[in-house]
Amino acid sequence: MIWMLIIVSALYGWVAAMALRRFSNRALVRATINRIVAHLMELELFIDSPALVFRAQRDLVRENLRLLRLVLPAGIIPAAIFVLFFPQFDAVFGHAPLRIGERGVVSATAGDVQLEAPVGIMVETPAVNDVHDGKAGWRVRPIGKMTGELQIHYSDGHVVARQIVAGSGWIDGWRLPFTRPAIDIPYPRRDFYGLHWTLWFFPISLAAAIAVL
Amino acid sequence: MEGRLSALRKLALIVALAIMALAACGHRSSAGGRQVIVIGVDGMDPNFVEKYWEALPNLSRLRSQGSFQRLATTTPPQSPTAWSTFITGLDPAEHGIFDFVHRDPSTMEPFLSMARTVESRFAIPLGAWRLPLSNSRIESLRRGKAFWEVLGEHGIPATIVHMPVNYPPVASGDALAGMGTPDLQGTQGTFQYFSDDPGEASHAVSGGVIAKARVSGGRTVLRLEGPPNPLRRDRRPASANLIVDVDPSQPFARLTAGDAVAIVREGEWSDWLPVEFPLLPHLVSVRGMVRVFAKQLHPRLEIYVSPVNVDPESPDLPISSPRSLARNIARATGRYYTLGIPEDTSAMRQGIFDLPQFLTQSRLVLDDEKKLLDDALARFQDGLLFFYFSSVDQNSHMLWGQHDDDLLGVYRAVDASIGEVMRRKPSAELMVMSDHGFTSFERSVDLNHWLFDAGLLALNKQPEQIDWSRTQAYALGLNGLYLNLAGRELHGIVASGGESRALIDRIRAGLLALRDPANGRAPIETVTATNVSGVNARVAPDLIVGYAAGYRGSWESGVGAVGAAVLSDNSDAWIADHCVNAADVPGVLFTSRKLRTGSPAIADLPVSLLALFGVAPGPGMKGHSIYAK
Repeated sequence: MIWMLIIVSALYGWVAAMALRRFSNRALVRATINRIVAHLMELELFIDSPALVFRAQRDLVRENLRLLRLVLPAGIIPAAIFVLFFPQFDAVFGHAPLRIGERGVVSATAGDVQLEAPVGIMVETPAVNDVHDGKAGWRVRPIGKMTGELQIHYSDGHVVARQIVAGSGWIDGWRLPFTRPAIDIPYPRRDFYGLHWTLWFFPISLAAAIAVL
Repeated sequence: MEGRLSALRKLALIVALAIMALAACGHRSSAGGRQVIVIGVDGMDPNFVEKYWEALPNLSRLRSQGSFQRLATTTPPQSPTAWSTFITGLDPAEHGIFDFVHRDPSTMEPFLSMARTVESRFAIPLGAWRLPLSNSRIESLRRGKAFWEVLGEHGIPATIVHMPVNYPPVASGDALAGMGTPDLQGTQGTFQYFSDDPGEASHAVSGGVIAKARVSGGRTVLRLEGPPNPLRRDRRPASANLIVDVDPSQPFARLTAGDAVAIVREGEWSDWLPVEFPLLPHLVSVRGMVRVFAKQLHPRLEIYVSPVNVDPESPDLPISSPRSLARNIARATGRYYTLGIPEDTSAMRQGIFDLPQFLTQSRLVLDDEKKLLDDALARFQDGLLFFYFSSVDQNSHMLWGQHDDDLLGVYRAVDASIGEVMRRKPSAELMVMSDHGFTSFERSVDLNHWLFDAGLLALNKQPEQIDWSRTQAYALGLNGLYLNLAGRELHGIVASGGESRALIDRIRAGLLALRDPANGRAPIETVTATNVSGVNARVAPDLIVGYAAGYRGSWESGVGAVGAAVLSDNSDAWIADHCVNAADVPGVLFTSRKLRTGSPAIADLPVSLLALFGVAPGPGMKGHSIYAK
């Protein structure tokens, strides 16, 4: 899994670098960075002249804003990609499959409902209604390594489904940004050597982007 | 191109060297493939075992293939004392643990004897808050070197699981702390019980808190009390919510604590629920975990919440050495009890649990212990493995003599685990031992009341508290009796030397002459002067009282209070004990190797275990090897 995270992070870094290369004026960016460095030097050089220090600070702010304006159009593309894929990334890298033998609660909107679980998932309770939040929940326990589809049938014929994974395997995290899955499955959080996946993702993608640029 | 290839080669060489260095730092043992396994069964009693050999096939087999003997315990025969002797080979005067509770003579306040928290000395006050400039630390109060530290110095690896009086664990080998590990509130276990019964008022009880629950629209929000907040000047406890949504038409409830959700049926236990207690909202928090018992959901709501255990997946207290061990085990086995004494006898004593409910909770603990043993056996390669079972001791306190079938069930479960060890590690040297045995607790002896009657302890009228200016001696703990010594105690009045010796003689003669009017028996068999010098003299009792079988110190004397009568019937659910004359409650010693008949004592065991690896006794160890020819 760590290798997949490294590959995806590097790929993202490459995309970000390509966007920066394509949609920003690199000569202007470089010139602006040079001016920022120059103003920083001014701060050190004219430390005994408050008027000059204030002017250098003002210029520093102005150049930074200019730099932001120059890189922003290029930055929107990787940012949009990240927002779009975050649920998928978080599902795959941020969560682990259900642990075999460990009990959890799957939940969905309450109603006249019936849960249909795939082989390998034991349903231990009937639908338990939470009147306060309008939820129905079932206690489930994976009894072996499995991947299957959990279906909830409503009395009006409406059916919602979601893939369920236990033991090992890929969690299907595909969904639109800012939406919740129709069925909550309590996948445990996963980390990589004690660190959240984003703490690997960003440094690796940054390193990849720098290497490409 | 040539340069780049050369750089790559250098990089590859560096990586290869690093891997080789890491491999060299890995498992390196001087144990020579020798495996020694010690199963410590707190409170396993030789008489009980002898009565039920047929029901305990694995212990029986161990006895016939190797040996079985009674194991002399310490004076006093209390678990913290005996296990400290097992760990260090020192007697109580040297390791300094005489009871669960000691008192600070400079304040006369009782404190837990095994470990203490040393708070940060400097903090910046900010209104209601305080920002400590350094971390507080927890230190063990047991003195002496653990025998597995000596093994470690000789390159022999040790895995120590749930050793009592090993909190925080000594930094040698792999160790998970045992008895003495507190809950997140810093106590030895405080349950919380919530009820919407209008007749039930919120109040604290021994070992727990009873609180009112208010149900609204099927939902109850229970406020779980967490640790005292070290970032607040008033140290007000941090709290977290546990939401209980009861299904209106079925005996089920949904429990929500932060992101964690569980469903329980009435009469059922939840799995572990992680709970986060904020110390500084959104910035700093501590993590614990609880198990919830849905005692009743309809028509009344009665919810028991276990003491807040340290969460091994994210431990905020030093429950293992190395610190990552607790988490690694949890990842392999799932969460497990981390509280030092996990069986909730307090809930049964307070009437929250009936016997079947206590047995179920106790079974959950035993299941966790078996899970941890399984994991420890899987990891164990060579050297020493120590594994501890608490269940026999805690169940004996509640079942002994009145529910032998249930107690036998616990013995059988431990016996089955021992059989599993024998099956999986057939070539290992095996030792099964206990720190003490058991006897019934029928009559209670209130030492402070006896001292009061003897004119050696005086009380103020209002409020009724000990008048130290007129008190010559007092009792605290289950076997300890202290002189109110001038120069040691805060308000000491007894001069050391001749006066104190005469007082000791007077108390000893008086206690040994005491007779129980109910049956004419002598409730006290021995009164032993400790004569401790050096650093432990401040905490050591001056006298250790050895009760006759069937008797024990009163609960009131145990906490330094004065009971209503010198002798009274024990009406508590706690019906058996071992805090009596040490000779009456020996432990057990099984070995897979045949031994000559002798009189082994618990202090002999660390020396013997070192001898098995050819290592000389550690500093100050008193015992002799049971394996000596």
